[in-house]
Amino acid sequence: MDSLSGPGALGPPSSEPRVLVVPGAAVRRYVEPVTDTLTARGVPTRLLDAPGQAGASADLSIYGARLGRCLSDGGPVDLLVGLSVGTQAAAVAAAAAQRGRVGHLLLVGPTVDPERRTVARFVAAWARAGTREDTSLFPRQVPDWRGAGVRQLAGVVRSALSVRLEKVLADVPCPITVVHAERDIVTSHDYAAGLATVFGQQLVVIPGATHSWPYADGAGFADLVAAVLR
Amino acid sequence: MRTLKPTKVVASFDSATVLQAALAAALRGEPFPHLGHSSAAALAVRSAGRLPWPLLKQLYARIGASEGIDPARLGDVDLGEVARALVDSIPARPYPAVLIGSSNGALTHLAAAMQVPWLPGTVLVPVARRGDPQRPVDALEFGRRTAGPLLKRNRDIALHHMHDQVQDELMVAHMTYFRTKWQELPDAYAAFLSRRLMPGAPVLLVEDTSRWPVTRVSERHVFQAGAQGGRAADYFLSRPHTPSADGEAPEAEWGADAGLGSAVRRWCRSSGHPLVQISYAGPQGPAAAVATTLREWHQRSGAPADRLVVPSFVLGDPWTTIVKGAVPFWTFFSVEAALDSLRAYLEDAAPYRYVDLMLFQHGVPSAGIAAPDEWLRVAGAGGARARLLGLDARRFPHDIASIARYGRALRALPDSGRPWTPMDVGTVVESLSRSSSLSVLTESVPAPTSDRPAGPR
Repeated sequence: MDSLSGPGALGPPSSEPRVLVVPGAAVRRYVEPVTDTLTARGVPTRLLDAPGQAGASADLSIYGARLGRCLSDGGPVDLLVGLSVGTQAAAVAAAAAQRGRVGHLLLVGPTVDPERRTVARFVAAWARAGTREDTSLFPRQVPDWRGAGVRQLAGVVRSALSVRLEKVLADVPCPITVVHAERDIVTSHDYAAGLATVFGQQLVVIPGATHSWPYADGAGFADLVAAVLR
Repeated sequence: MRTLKPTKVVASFDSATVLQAALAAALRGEPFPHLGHSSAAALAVRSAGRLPWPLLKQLYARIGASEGIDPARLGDVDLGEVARALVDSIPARPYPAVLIGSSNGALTHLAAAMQVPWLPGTVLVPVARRGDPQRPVDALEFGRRTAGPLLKRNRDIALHHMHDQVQDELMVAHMTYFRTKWQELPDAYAAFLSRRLMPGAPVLLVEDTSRWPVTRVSERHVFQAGAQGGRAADYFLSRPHTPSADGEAPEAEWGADAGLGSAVRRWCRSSGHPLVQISYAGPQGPAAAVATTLREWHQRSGAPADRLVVPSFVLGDPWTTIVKGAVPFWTFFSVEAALDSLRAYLEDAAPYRYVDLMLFQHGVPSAGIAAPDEWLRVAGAGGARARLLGLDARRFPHDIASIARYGRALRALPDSGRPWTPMDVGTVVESLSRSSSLSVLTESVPAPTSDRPAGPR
């Protein structure tokens, strides 16, 4: 994760809304159109390396702690977005960063639901969820996974199973929005709703959507980000 | 002491348990097709629905009758266990409010939009009994003979023995309806409130104030001839072989027992939770206010809110209705009173583009029933495109298979595509307070002192 290795890595402070996106397990490419959409709408957005991607830690706690340090040392961001297991890394970062460095935390498809908290259940849910996704998603993710390698991917899964989002969020000082796609079977509605409710935060349900919905609906995702930033 | 399993005690067609199951599904983010039964059962129902009515009628009555419990086992009924089973069906997470009390389909849709649960105040225990539907007096005597062990084992309930040969003609030939109302807060409910209600969160006490003439059998046992539906109480009481009424009591299916209300009020005072009392006269009361509230909510999120879905009795799916961005106007039965209520609402509301109607089928052309063409006429009067959802109008009122079709039909509605966030409880209370058909009273308590819980589980 060399791009987040030191102070100032996030760029100089700016009065513009700034959005950071932590992608899911070792996959980054599929999110690029989404962040491009945001940038095209005038929302400076930066897509970070994916946890487990070559050069980035597969350990979500380490990834998050590093990101938290970078946030503390750099300028504040208005919105930190986590996607899938990226929600766990983003939450760790938001909890670790100095107060005021993250304006809002957006968790899209938070993991790992306690009902899926074994390797077998998590992988099975993920595989089943894949059958609901747009058919063009899988070919787009494969090169990223190949680049990461099995060892890194296994590391992300192990880490995802051990980082308890519901515990980490207790230390996050900024507002949180939890986003659940209606047809997401990696994360249950119950878990997402529980996370939002227990921390007195907002739950957003995306009708008809699947776990990786931002890929297929960049405009919808940009609308959601804009709404949160408002 | 033996105890029947809760699933053997309550009727699968009971308004309270089905509406509660539909809401529990919505709290899990799941649709509620075919009244919560399996897909295989739904397939069987759809297939059976093609049978000629005389044959299907026998099948319908026999399947329904098979749910009646042996009267000799009424002493094995533990309604505390039923309360526990109801609570256990609710996803275990903190809630910003809980509804408790009268059954009402409009309010369960509203609860789904708020993502809060409801704890029923009344459940139906069907008891096996063969008899002439047109002789309520025989049903009364049967209840007098058999209900003792039930009342002895369950000291916190009142028994409202109901006999409605108009709406339930096919069923009451094979079973009799023991509707039981809690007069105290069941232990399982109290534990649930303590464990799952967020600090400072309100309890919404739902009280349908409708009453009905009854014949009192004992201190906690009344007999009710007829029920809310197509005809008023006098219609039933003037029929032959009907016992005379000697008083009034909360209506058996929908009415609220004051004892439960008092118990909830005591619990709120002792625990520091605010109480919001929502009361109305009759099951149709909240429908318009709920529709207005949910339409405004959809519109605030930018949705057109131009589709009205009309659930009927237990036919409905709160989750899918909300996800589709539709506005629910719940009707308690396919009867004239409900149709009048829909007419009044549509005359008052801004026009809808679509109105999708569900009509619950009880198998008989009973007095006061409203037929599909009447519903379509009212629904389309303002220019809306009105249609029946999952119903074969030619088979009305015995298109029994509609219970296995409404889910698919709802699911086939176009997606709203708009993200939504659960309704704020305070906004809902404020919105309902503006309605003239409801009374909303808030009983405040001192500010809560406890900290928020540490985690969702």
